[in-house]
Amino acid sequence: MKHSSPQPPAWALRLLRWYCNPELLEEIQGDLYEAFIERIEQRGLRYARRHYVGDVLRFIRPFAQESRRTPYRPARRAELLRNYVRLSARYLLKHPGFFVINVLGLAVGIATCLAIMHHVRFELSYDAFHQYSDRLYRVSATLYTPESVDRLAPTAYGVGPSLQEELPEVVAAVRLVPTMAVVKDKEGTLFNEETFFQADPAIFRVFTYPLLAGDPTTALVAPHSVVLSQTLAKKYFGAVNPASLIGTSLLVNQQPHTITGVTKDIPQNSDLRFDALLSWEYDPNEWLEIGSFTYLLLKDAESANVVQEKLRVFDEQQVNPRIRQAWGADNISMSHALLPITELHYTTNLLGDTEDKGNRTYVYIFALVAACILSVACINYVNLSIAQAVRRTTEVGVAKAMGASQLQLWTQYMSECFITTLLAVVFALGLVLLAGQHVADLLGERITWLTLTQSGGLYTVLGILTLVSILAGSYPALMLSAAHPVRALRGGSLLAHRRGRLRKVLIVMQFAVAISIVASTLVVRNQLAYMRHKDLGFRQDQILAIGIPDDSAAKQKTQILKHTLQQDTRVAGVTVGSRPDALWSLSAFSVTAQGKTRHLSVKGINVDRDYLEVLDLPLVVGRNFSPMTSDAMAPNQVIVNEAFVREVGWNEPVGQEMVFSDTDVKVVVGVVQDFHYASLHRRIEPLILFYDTSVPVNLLVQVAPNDTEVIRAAWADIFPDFPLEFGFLDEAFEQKYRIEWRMLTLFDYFSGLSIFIACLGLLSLTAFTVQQKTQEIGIRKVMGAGRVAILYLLSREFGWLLLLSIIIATPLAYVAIRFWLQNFAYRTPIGGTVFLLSAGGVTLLALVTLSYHTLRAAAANPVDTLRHE
Amino acid sequence: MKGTQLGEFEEIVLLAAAILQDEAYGYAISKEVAEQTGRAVSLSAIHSALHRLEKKGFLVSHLAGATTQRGGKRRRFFAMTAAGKAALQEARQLRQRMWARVPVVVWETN
Repeated sequence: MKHSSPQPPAWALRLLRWYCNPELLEEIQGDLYEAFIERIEQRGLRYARRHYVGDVLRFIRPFAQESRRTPYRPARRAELLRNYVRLSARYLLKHPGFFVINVLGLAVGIATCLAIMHHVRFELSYDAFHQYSDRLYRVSATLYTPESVDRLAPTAYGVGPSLQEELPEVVAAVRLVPTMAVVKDKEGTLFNEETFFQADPAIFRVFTYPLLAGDPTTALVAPHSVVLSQTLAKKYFGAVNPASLIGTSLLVNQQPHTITGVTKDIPQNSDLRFDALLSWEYDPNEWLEIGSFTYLLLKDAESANVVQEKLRVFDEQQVNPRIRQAWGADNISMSHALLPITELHYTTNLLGDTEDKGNRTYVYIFALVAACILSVACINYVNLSIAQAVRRTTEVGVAKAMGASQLQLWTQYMSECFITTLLAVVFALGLVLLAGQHVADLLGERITWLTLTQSGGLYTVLGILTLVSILAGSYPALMLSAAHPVRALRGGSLLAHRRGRLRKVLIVMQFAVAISIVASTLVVRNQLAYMRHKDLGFRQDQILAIGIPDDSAAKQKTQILKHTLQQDTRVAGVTVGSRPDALWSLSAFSVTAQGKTRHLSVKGINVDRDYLEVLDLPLVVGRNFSPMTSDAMAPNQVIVNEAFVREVGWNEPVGQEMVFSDTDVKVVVGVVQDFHYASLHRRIEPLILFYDTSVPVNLLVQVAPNDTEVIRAAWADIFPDFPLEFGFLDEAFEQKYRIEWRMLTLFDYFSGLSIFIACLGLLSLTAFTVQQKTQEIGIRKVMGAGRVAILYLLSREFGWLLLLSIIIATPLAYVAIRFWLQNFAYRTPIGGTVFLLSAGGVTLLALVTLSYHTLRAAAANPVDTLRHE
Repeated sequence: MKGTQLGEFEEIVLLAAAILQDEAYGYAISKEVAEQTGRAVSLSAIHSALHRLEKKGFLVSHLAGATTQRGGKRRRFFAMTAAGKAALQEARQLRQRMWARVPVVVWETN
C-alpha cells in the first residue's frame, strides 16, 4: 500500500533473527511473511502486524535454536574426554624424544617451583598455628633515657599482669622469661640448656601447645614444675611413654623439679621456640628489670587499636611513675606498643629479641624466582611444541577436512599438554620428596608428604598443574588448531606469517635469565670467599671460647682455671673476657672533646690484661692495662678502638676521661686497632674494652683443637656442677654467614637449572631450524661448503640472539648484585670478570648445544637430504 | 526405538504433509491443518511438529524455490519417508483395531 511491499515490524524481525538458528531462519521467516501478506488481505495491515509479532514471540521455543543437522554430539562427556586422551597418548608415545624432553623440562621447573612455594608458604605462616593467632600480640617496650632510645623486645615484668588487670580488652597476659638451665638427669649427666623459659600458667590457655601428657590448666601452677618437650623428654629419659613421666623428678639448676607435662615439639614456624617450660620461680622487681616477653590475648581482633590507644594512657599513668621510682631517676620514660604475633618473625629492629628472624624481602625474591623458573620451563614447552607443530600440519589439515572444528582440535592439543604436565607434576612431586633432606639443608625445613598437603599445599600443586597446562598449552594449541586446512594439506607452513619471532624473543629471555643468575652466583661466591679470607684484625683460629657458668664463686674459680690452664704447655694463652662477638651491653657516659661535652652510648665488653695478647690485637697508641694490685682499686682503665676515637673526635685519646657517673670516671689508657668483632655485615662501630673481671663471661683459650682434653680435665675439677661448653671462634664467625652460604648453594642450583632449561630450549630450536634448512644445507654441501661453514651458517642467527641476551642481562644483573651487596658493610668489588665469565660460560654451553644438531646436519650426506623433497 | 510414537498433533501434521505432496511446506501445511481442524493453528506449533517429525525420521526436507512472493526467502519442503508412511498406517490400524473392539451399543445409544 505505502511501499512497494508491506513490511512486518522491523523490531520483531530483528528479534527473530537474534534467537533463531540461522539454519531454520530462512524458512520460518518466509512462512511468517506469507502469513503476514495473507493477513493483510484478510483484515488489514495493522491486524497482520499484530499477529506477526505474536507469531514471532511464539516461535521462541527450544526447537528454534537447535541445529537441523544431526549434531556431532557425544553420547557422554566422559567418552569424549577418553577419546582425546587416547589421541594424545598415541601421539606422545610415537614421539618419545619430544615427550621426554618436555616432561623433563617441565618436571624440573615444577619441582623447583614447588619447593620454593613450600618454603614461601612456610615462611609466611609463622605462628599462624595458634588457635587465637589473630588476637595474639606481643608487647614491645621503648626505653627513653637522656643518652639513648632503645627499642626492646622484652618488657618489664610488671607490664603483663598490670595490663590484664587494667584493660578489659586484654583477656590474658602471658610472660615468658628465657632462663639458662643446667639439668642433671638421674645418671648424673649434665646438660646446658638455653631454651628453657619460665612461663605463666595461662600459657596453655592462650597458645596452642598441645600437651601429650599432663593437665594444661594446672601444669605450671605449682612451683618447681617443669613441662618438657617431646624431644627433651626423649633426651633425658629415652623413648618412654610421656604419660609415665608425670611426677618424675628432674634436677634443674640444682633444684629438684617435678615434671607436670610433656608437650608436642614446637613447630618450626614459630618465632619463640622453647624446649621446656618452668613454673614461675623468679621473684623479680616488677618494674626495674626488663626481662620477660609479654604476650597478650585480646578479646577480639578489632581491639588492637583500642588497646594501642589505651597503652598510651597506661604508660603515662601506670608505667612511668613506677619505673621512675624503681630506677630512682626522673628523666626516663617508657612506652609500649603491640605487635601481632604473626609479625614477630620479621621484626628485626628490637634488642633482646629471639633469633632466626626471617627476611620478607628474601621470601618475595624467592617467590619471584619460582615464578621465573616456571615461566622459563613453560616457555620451553611452547617453543618445542611450536617446532613440532610444523610437522603436524598434515594432521591438522586432515582433521579439519573431516569436519573437526577448531574447538575440538584445540581441546585435543590442550589435553596433550595436560597429560604431559600431569606426568611432569607427578615426576616433580617424586623429585621433591626424594630430595627432601637436601632441600631441608637449603631451605631450612624438610618437605614431606605431610607438609606438602597441609595448609593448602595440595591447592598449590593443583594450581601449578592448571596454570602450567594453560600457559604452556594455549598458544601451541591455538596455533595448531587455527591452521588453514587447504594450506596445511598442501604442505605450506602455517608459521609463514610469524617467522618465529616469538620464539626468538623467548630464547633471548631464557638466556638472559641464565646469564644473570650465573653472574649473581659468581658474585655471591666471591663475596663469601672475600669474607672468609678477610683479615678480621684479630686471631680467630685456635681460639676456644668457654662459657663461664653462673656460679656464686665464679670470679675466683675462673682465675684458678686460668692459672691451671696457663701451666700447660699446650695452651698458648688464656684470657678472661667476653668473646668479641658476644652480645654487648650499651654503656652510657659523657666525654669532652674539643671543648664540647657529649653524652654517648657505646658497646663495651669486659676483659682482662691478657686479652690483647691472646687475640693478637695491636695497639695503635698508648699501652695495655696496668695490673690491678688489689681489688679495691676500682677498674677505671679502658681501652677504646679507633672508631671510638673518630666518633668522639679526640686528637690525643690517651689520658682522656669518660664520665659514667659521679663516682665512676674512667681513663683511656690505649687505643686498639679497629677489628671486626661483628660480622662483616656491619661497619666497625666504636667499642670500649673495660678492665673488669668481676663477672666473667667467657674464658678465651688459645689452644690447638686436638688438645682440648686439657680444658676438660681442668674444668671437671673446678666447675664440677656445670657442663663444659665451648666453641672455636673461627667456627662461630663462619656461622654468621649461614644465610649467605645457603644462598650460594641455592644460587648454584638455580644457575645449573636455568642453563639446563635454556639449553633445552636452544636444542629444540636448533632441531627445528636444522629441519627447515635441510635442503639448503644439502645444496651448500654439494657446492663445496665444509662442516665448519655449515656450523657458522646455522649459528649466525643464534649468535645475534645470544649477544642480545648478554646485553640485556648485564645491566639487570649488575643492578641486582649491587642491591644485594648493600647488605654488607664490607664487600668485594664487582669486577668485569664476573660478567665476562658468566657470559662466556653460557655462550660456550650454548655453542655445544648448537653443535649437537648442526654438526649432525652438516655431516649428513647431501644425497639423502636432497632426495626427500 | 523409543520416541517414535506419533502424537495426535504430529499425526495431523504428517497427514497434511502427505496430502499436500510437493506443496508441503510450513505455511501451506499450517493452512491445511487449520482448514481441516477448523481451528486456528500457530505457525510455530507447526514448525515445531515438523521439526520433531523430521528428527524421528518420518519426514525429509529440503530447501528450494525462492520466490518473490515470500520476499526472496526459500521454502523448506517436507516429504514423507517410508517410516512416516508406516507410522501413519500403524496409527490408523491401531485406531481401527480399537474401534472394532468398542461394542456396537456405544455407538447406538445417544
